[in-house]
Amino acid sequence: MKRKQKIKAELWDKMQYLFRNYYDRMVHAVLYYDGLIDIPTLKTVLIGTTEKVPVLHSSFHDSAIDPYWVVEDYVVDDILTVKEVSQDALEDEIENFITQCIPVESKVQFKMAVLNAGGKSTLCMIVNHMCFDGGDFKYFLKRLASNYNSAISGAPVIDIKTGTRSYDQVYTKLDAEDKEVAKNLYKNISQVKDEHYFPLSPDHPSDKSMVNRSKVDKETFAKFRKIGKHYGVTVNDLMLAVYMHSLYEFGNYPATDTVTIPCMVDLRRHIEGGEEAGGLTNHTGFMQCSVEGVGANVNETLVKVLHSVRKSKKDKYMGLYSLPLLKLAYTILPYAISEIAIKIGYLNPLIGMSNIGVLDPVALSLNGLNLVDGFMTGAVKYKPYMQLALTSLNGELTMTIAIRGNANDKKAVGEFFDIIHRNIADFIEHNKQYAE
Amino acid sequence: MTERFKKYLEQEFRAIPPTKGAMEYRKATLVRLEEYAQDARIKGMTDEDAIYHLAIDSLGDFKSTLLKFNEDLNNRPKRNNRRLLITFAICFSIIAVIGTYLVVSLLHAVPWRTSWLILVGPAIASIIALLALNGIAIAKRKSYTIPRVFLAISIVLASTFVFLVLLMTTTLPYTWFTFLVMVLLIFAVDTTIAFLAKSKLAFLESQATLVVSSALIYVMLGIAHIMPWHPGWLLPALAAPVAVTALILMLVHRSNKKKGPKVKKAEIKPTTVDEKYYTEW
Repeated sequence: MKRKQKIKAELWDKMQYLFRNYYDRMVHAVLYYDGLIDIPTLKTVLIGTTEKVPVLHSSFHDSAIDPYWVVEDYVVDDILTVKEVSQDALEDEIENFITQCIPVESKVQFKMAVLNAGGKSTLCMIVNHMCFDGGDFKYFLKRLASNYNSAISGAPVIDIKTGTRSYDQVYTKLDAEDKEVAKNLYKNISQVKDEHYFPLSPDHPSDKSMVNRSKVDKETFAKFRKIGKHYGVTVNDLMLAVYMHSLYEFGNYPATDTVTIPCMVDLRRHIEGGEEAGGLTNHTGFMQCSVEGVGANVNETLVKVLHSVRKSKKDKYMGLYSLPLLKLAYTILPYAISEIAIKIGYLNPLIGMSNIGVLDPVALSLNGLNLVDGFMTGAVKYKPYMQLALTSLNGELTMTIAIRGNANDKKAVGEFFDIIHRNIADFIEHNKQYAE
Repeated sequence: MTERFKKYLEQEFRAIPPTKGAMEYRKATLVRLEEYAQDARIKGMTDEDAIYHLAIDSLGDFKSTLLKFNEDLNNRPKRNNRRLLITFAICFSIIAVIGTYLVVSLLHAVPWRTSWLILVGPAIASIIALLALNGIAIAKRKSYTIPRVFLAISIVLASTFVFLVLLMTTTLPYTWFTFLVMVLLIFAVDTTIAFLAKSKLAFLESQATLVVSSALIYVMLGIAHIMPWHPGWLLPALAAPVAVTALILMLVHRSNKKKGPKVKKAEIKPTTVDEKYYTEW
């Protein structure tokens, strides 16, 4: 019998595996097209892509000494589901599909569904976060679209990056001196004790995964961005301010409390070659954003947010802290012990924010099918953890909060979205002279 | 607004020498001013003139800040990339010394009653090294009083250790002479430093060293029966008039020197201003 190929589990694979204690390790994407996807072509592209990226058809093996991946045999049906659904049932089908969790022992580490309703396809995909993060998920989807388009046009060449998955690519842009400094950033930045939490009902076995969504319409988002542009701040800064402001209100935090939330940072900014370099993997760090009390309005909170994020933005090692500490722990200790040690030292943030960014409708179009709507979101968080994820597409902003909860939690998240919308509206009203 | 800030900073930074550090500080200050202006706008200010003046005011007494910055820049200690290595070396040395002490004592290679010197020696050497490093650092700033005190302390410590070693490991007579030599050494070394540092009291100190040294040498030679007490007493007795004569000659020489023609002061040429440096962003 042929011996199965083993793949080394990289630092981030192990870290994401550890995160199973806090969330479901899945990354999600839903893309709505204005026509039907050609399934045989999609299957060809999926097989070609999966073959080129072995970790996508591997099972993860936990080991006390050093965990590893084992490359598995699979068929395309293990990955792709195609279903005809009614327009009314579409959203429920999407929710059911994206809230499932792929076990690490599975033969494949990503799943895709094409849900056809009313002559239009919706492409849903979930992937094990241990394989790659949101940054590479966007890259994967863009490559999937371009490979699909090539296949349709009769040139079935699968183009996808297949290089190293090693974490240390994040030092490639630094010069020798900075690299030496970066490799000694042993500071544990997760150790920021912030006990503010998002008010959800107590944990219960009947809780189920849910991806709560809310949209900021095109007109509102355009005004919002325009005001941001006037003040010279990014959408990320603005949303962070609105999010913080809303959290104080929704969570009834005392106005003078200091609240710290981490904001995810794509570490590919430090990699020579950016998203095209290396292989599909995780390169995500985070920067801490602390506000010392909430402002009287969003503008004031924005100033407080800026005071915090400016420090991170000026730091050329942004997001690179703690990596040497993790590397050290995984190098000198057997895996089982290192996991315990890291678990003791790591404080998972109770509240977070991840700006996944813009989905490019041109790069994601499938042979003339337009991407009319869509979003991406991170893992489904277990109580008491929560994260707000943001994606923008065609000038609209989609906010998602993926949690395990019940109907009351869904209602609470809905109310929180309402507060965010109100704060965005107030912000636009307050700065209307710059919105036109 | 940015151009106004730049112009202001280009002018202000002429108060300090054009260095790379000053350039970086200038750029950082521009960012600070821009951030201040951004905050003011977000808070609701619309009068750009008022924002400009408030931002400049936020820098406080910027002239003094600049001068202080320049002073700090000159005194900034160089980055020590070997700090970690030094820490490891120190830890390793401590472990090695304690290990050696225990091994040689437990194996009876050196008796317990003297082996403790293995601990005392490196301890004294470490203190002397610390005093030397700090002394050199202070001396670089042209301040010599503290380094001279450090040197005297080092000689006292080293002499004490030498005395202990001689006492515990040899049967030599007059081991206590170490302390007399110690005083002699302190005077000799301090006088040398006084001359090197061009101290005004160097000559006076050299004469004091002459008198004290001759007295100490007389005592040591007398006790050791190398030189008879009589007429050996002539040694310190002659040292005093020699010192007084030398002092008188030196004072006469100085007085003649003062009467000489005055040296013309060097003409101060105006230095050219590097416009490119001050306006580069």
